[in-house]
Amino acid sequence: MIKDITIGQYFPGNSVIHRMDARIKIIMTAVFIVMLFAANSVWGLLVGIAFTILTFIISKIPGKLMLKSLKPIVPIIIFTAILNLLFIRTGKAYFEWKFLKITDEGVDTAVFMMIRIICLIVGTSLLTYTTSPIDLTDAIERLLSPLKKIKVPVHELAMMMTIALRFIPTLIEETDKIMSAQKARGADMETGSLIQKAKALIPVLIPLFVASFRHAEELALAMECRCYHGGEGRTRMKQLHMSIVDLYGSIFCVLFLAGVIVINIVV
Amino acid sequence: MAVIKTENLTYVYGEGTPFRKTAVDNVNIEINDGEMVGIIGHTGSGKSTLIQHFNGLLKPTSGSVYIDGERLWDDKSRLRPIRFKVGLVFQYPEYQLFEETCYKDIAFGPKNMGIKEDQIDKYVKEAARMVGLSPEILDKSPFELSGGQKRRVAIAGVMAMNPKVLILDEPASGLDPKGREQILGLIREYHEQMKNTVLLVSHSMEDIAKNVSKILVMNESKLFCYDDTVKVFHRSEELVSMGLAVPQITRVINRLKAMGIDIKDDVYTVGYAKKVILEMLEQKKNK
Repeated sequence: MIKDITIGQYFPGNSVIHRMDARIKIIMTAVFIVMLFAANSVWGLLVGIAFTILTFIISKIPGKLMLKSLKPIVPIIIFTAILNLLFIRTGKAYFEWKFLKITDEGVDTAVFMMIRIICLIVGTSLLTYTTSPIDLTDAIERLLSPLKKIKVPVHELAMMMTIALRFIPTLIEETDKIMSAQKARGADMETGSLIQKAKALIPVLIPLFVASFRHAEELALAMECRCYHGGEGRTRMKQLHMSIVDLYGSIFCVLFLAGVIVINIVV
Repeated sequence: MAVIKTENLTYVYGEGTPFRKTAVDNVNIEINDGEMVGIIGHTGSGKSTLIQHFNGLLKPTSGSVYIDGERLWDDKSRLRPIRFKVGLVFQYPEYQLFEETCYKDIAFGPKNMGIKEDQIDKYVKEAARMVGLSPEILDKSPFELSGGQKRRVAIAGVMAMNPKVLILDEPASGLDPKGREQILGLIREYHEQMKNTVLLVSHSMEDIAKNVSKILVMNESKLFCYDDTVKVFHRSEELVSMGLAVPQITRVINRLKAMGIDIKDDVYTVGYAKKVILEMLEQKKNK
């Protein structure tokens, strides 16, 4: 059950997208989001969908994995669709009953929003699936480094993120172990009312909480032992490198964005 | 009668991902009631995965597990009663303590079983006595105790459920030599008193040799052998090639044999070796 959480998990591979520079990938993702929301016609959206599908195929991420990461947001997609259906009252009415009014514009927006959110999740998941967490935080640090000038602790924030990401699998494993141990003592976590279920979590949460503090303390000590003193003068073992692939990727991405903008103007 | 039986038990981790790994590969064993069995194997040989099948925490990818003749996973609602029958103490069990007092923590298992309050009290005190915890510790918070004491509380928490089979995963790991001796000693005592089945997972041959009558060896996800302690240590060359160290004293005896000294085969504890060697010296003197 707990192993099914896939959002933010790295899926090792050697596709073109895997080999791209993490900085470019982050910027591309931002451009992609702009592309999706800039598209205001069916044709524009189709370009966005094409981009999503193309990158997805190039990345060689198994479709099953992608479906898994889409599963948890199905309720959100349905919820936004329903909101759009019910609250957009302009346009030609398809159906009217008391206060309910479903119009063609409502249907259009609902479908648009659904497709946008799905593309958004697929696209952003691709970023985390194809980039190792370490590369990702490195790239964020580099991208945000201009903010150092206005005294934003960029390195510290990136370090915190790295550590948080690094500990997700550890804590998941720990949770799994503690749950197994309490189950072995007859703890019942699956049946019962909501309150009973919440209560059943106490034997898991307390040891987990204690474990997190223990990890934090051990890690802090280990970092201090290795003379960690913050970001100043710190160099990296693995440098981020831009290559020809990144250039092609950027051009590819910009072309799609341009396509969407042109379609917006023309249509 | 076999209290634990597996048929072609196979378990695969992470099916369908690049991390796919067969952790237990086609294992067939029968463990009889009332035995004290040692389970040894290298790190990652599948021993921990194997034991988690015995109380239905893991579902076999294929094959089946029988506890007392009952096939697990046929009826999911039967899993909880099975877990009370097969008590499992995980590695570093002290990290699972959560209650305000040790007493309450030990009582967690019996309470889940739905036992009456006065009966629970009896079980908790009995388990605490068994692991050598004094009554005043029971009222303390488990987080105040030392590592060794915490470990005892955690082990008592499983013993208090009076399981028919008790499985312990590396119960002595991370303790100092004296702590190791004590923990293993009390497990042996528990076995002798309760006459139930005990499975002891360890990678220390010395610990295993001293305490168990049968050994199950796992190697690279497969069952290497399941036999009497003497017979297993007889295959010391194979064990060494697997990267498992045989007890030091067995190595000494093997070396003596290689030097042409006619010595018994079944020597794998220091105490017994001393006796055998003294006897031999005595014979030599009398000649």
